[in-house]
Amino acid sequence: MPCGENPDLLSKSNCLTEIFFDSALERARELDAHFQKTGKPKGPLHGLPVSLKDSFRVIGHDASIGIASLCFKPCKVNSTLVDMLLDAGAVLYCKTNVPQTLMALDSHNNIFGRTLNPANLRLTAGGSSGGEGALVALRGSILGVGTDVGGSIRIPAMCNGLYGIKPSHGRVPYAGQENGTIAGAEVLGIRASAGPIAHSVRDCELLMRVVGDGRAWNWDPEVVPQSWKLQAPLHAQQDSQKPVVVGVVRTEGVTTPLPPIARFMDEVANTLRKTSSTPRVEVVDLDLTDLLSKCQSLANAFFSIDGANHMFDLLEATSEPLSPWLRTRLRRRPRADLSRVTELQARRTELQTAFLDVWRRHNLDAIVCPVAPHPVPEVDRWNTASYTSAFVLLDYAAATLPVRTVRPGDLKGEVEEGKPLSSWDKYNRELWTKVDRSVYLNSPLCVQVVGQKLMEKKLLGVMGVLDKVFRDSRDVGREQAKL
Amino acid sequence: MPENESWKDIARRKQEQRDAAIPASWRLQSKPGANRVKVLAVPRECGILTKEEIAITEDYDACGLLDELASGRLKSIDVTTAICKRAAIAHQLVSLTLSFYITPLLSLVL
Repeated sequence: MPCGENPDLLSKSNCLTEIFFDSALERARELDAHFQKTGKPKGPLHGLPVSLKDSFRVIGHDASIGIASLCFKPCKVNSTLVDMLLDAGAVLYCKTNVPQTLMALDSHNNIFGRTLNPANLRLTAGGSSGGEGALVALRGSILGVGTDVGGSIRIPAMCNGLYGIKPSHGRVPYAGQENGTIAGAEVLGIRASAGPIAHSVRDCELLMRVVGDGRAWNWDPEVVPQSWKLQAPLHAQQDSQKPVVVGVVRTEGVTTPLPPIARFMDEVANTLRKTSSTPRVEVVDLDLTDLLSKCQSLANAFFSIDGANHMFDLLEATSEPLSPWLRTRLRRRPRADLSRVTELQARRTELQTAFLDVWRRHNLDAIVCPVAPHPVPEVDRWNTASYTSAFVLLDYAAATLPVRTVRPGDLKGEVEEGKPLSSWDKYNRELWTKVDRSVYLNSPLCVQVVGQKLMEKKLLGVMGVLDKVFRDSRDVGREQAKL
Repeated sequence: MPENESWKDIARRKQEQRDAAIPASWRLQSKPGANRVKVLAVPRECGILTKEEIAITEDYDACGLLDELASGRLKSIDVTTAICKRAAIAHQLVSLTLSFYITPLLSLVL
């Protein structure tokens, strides 16, 4: 149970922030009338309800992101993606819960309360798109849209056993988001992306295809002009049986994965190596600790450029207290100056360049690594997003792919003796050594699948191949269990 | 927004606004058991969704639903009603069970 929360204020924890069922039903009737009259759907998302993270602007509704001083200020303009979804014939019906400041891996704020994990209420639903994760898990949404700058799509997807993609910057329109920053600030730092949270690979592809075909570059100056058709697939048609080359990365070198995750990654690598599905998968074991270990501190430095000043201004406008998890982790700091930002950008370009060598040398189609160095933790026990933030720093296309759930055998094994690699590593060990491990039973085990910058279509191709391998091996496991 | 309204009052008003948007017939009549930590099946079991609505929300992914909608086999009003009902249930589920969840701990303290 998270400590320090006032039970009186807890009474309304949940996943929804804004509810517009009435207008959704009216819109559905209009779409049905259109279909009746013309015999044709209005667009590629005709009639489909789509849920949105609270940070999206929808005319007539708040985008409070759970902050008191942003409440009761209904939006006058839609986010660009919202307009695209409406043009495609979608039905919008609700928005979903987020953490205060959007920079937390649990979804709790003073306005809407906390979103819990419906598969196990003791565990986190993740953040910052936690409301989306829980709603899609409960099938109160079949297709959700979240955003991600440190892991905020991939982490809720992992926590709820769902598929989620964080595209690179410039693929899915991000214009018109409310993320508690001043205009222009985001350009100096790390760019966030919007992306799908869904129950299948093909549903993730659906959103990316609709966005690609919607010519968003005519509406959002950051979107590159490349339709879905023109985006590079996994293989050209004539090479469709070529093996898929996957680099398996087991650790980022700052926080060592706990025993169940380490064994799970070995199992994933073996399953991929041994598959008889086509196309085959060629597995390369990669040690990227030299490069990856530099990512977390650099990503955090970028996140700290504003020193959280604008966010604290918003909170202090109504003397709102910080959410419990943030109380020990966030405070006002001086804004970074220009020379600091310049230095960070130079380091980032250096890392991005060095990483390209890895892709070239091994001719990789994708990297497969953990989403986190631990299973889905209890509420407010997620500590670092280093395994996910690295790929936003690098601006890669990165996704969560669910594989299976934690079994009793996964609870065995102890952390290695010896000094922790870092304070993060020390904290991480406690998620194994100072916990009743049975809390992790049946929670999702997922991998992160990472592609190069702006290669979402290729990434989806890899995800489709891997998803089939994992499903086939589950079916084989079930058959063998029956014998 | 009134000048100097406290964050607590803003929170309360915001929750009221949100909760008023859930129709009475979509409210859960009974709470899941106190020790229940897994609530994924409650939308199916609670009796608010019809059999058809359960099928709409469980038997398809988004691509599957779109096939049904584009062919006219399913109407958007039926899909939207089913999803909205299920979202309303999902929303209340976590709320009810959290206030459940803290009760055993409070009774330890008091």
